[in-house]
Amino acid sequence: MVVTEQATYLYAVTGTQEIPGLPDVRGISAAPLRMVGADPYAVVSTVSLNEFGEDALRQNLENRQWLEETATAHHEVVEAVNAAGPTAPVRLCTVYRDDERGEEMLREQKSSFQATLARLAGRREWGVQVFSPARPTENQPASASDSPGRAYLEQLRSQRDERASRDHAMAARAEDVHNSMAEIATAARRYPPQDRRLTGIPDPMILNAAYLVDISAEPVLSQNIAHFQRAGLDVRLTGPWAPYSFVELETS
Amino acid sequence: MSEVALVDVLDRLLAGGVVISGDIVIAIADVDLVRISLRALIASVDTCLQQQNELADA
Repeated sequence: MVVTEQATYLYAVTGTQEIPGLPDVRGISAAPLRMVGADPYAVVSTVSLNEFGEDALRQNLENRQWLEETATAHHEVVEAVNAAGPTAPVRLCTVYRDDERGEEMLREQKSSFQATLARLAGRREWGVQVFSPARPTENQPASASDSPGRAYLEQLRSQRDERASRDHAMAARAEDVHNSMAEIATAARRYPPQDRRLTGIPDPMILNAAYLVDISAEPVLSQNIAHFQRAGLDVRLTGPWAPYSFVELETS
Repeated sequence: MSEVALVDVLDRLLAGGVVISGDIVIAIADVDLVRISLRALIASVDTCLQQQNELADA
């Protein structure tokens, strides 16, 4: 008889045991969720080591459908927990041998989690992305040069210079967006711009950042985004997010 | 997750979130997690585009 080995998958850590939305949500592979630990609590479900053992995981991470289903399930659990109070989402695929090992970790990190959760109270994460319009370079009028070869090279050079100076100007505007957002926010974090093949947007992304903002400062955030949009910049706001980007624990 | 883009979620789930050493994934470094899974995403998008192109050509 083959016994499937099981493990405990962690979604999020929170200071409250009362999570009204939790019974309506299922975990990975539609598993029921439960809570372990005692202030802080972790929301967990049981997963199979056939799926989450190290070798299996390596393969599964290469599988788009598996990744999408796992990330979606993880995110939905985090959303439900976050709706109930300050929440520290846990990195994807954090797995313990059993509940006891998870509880042991919670006890060891208790003060770090409590400090982190206290810092998150009354704040939400927002995502900001800036795209650079990829305008085609207009053909330059032929240069007065008498050599067609030289005229062609000059045209190439001037197109290249123009593109470089436009890229430079756009990068500076993206920095303006970031700096103004960082002033409104209590914390900021930049991610690498997403690949065009993943955004589905032909224009290249030139800023991909997250900001932790006091709820009371959200009107200022909206005004700031609107200000840049009115100025013609392609700025997109996502969120509010659970504070995924702002939960680094102090190392104890 | 209707209105939320998978790629935005993955930014956060793979490079954000609390990093605590679990029992299982110790050997998969953070960087690997991001690299492996983004490679999977891009490969699948490329396959999709290729199929669309093939359909369009047919």
